[in-house]
Amino acid sequence: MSTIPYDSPDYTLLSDVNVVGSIAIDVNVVGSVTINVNVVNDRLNVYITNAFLDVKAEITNTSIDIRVIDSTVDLTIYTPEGRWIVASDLLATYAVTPYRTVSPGKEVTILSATGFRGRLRQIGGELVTAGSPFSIMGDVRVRIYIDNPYVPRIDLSLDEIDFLNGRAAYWLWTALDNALANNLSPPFNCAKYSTSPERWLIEPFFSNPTAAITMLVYDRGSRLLTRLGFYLRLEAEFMNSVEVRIYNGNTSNTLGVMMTGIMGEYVWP
Amino acid sequence: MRGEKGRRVREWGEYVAYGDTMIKVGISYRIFDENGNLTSTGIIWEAENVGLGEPAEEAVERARRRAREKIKRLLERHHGEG
Repeated sequence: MSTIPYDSPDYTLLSDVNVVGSIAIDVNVVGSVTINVNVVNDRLNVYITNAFLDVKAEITNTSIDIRVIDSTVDLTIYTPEGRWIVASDLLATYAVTPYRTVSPGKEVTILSATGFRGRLRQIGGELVTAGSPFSIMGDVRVRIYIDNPYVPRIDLSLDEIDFLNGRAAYWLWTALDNALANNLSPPFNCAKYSTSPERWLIEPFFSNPTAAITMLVYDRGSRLLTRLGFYLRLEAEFMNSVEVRIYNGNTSNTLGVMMTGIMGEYVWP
Repeated sequence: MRGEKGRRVREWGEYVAYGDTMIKVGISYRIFDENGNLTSTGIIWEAENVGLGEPAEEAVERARRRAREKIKRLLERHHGEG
């Protein structure tokens, strides 16, 4: 057994250590143990191969701070007994909102979640003009507040949500309007469903899993929309709160909103 | 939290869905066994009508109280003890 004196100079381990048999290292410390490994401009390689790694740690007041920057972490944990010790995924939850009107110029909360760590996964809903038709695409904004009730992290008009799907809804609506004005056959996925007032259902193609305008109801008399469906997959992480609000930027007409949200909660906060 | 001993129900948090005449409050929970292992999860929703002119938060508070009462009874249902 070798003993390193307290005031020993720096040692440099130059040679490999090869042992046939086993090594037992007992370290008993009254006090604290500090291990600092500072590798400057080089890399620290740790390989454990052909071994059973058996680590038992009973730790209280634990604080582990691991920061991995510019790297890939590939972690696989096998639990032969099948016990749910790792919840890498989220617990799915949901919320369905009752019909809510949004007065002209107002912003209202449609859905809120407060707790621990979570994720707003997806929202989808239907917006309808509660009075006269108005420009839902341009005047209405979907605002998502994450861990901050004062400044929205996401603030998108419905037209901007349509951009996420390549603006399919806007151009199909424009094509329908043009066809009707010139007595042409309506484009695909457009059907008249009301004669008086004349209203058309427009169903644009949407294959984007992230976001889309799914349907529009076009009021030909006013040349405006009266109804619109959309979805938005956000996968937005939050630490303790998220709110979905709708802002009605139209100054004279009321909006109606129905919405469903899919959430995720991390198992361990 | 994992590692804490004793059967118990732990709330994750609360959801509120706002409507004109009705609000809904959901409280999600986890149930742990005596070894601190997670054994069950879920969410309880309670709906409450909002009276004319009534602040929505008053209806939210009523629904919240009802949901919490139900969650209190969950431990008994799952583990046979309160």
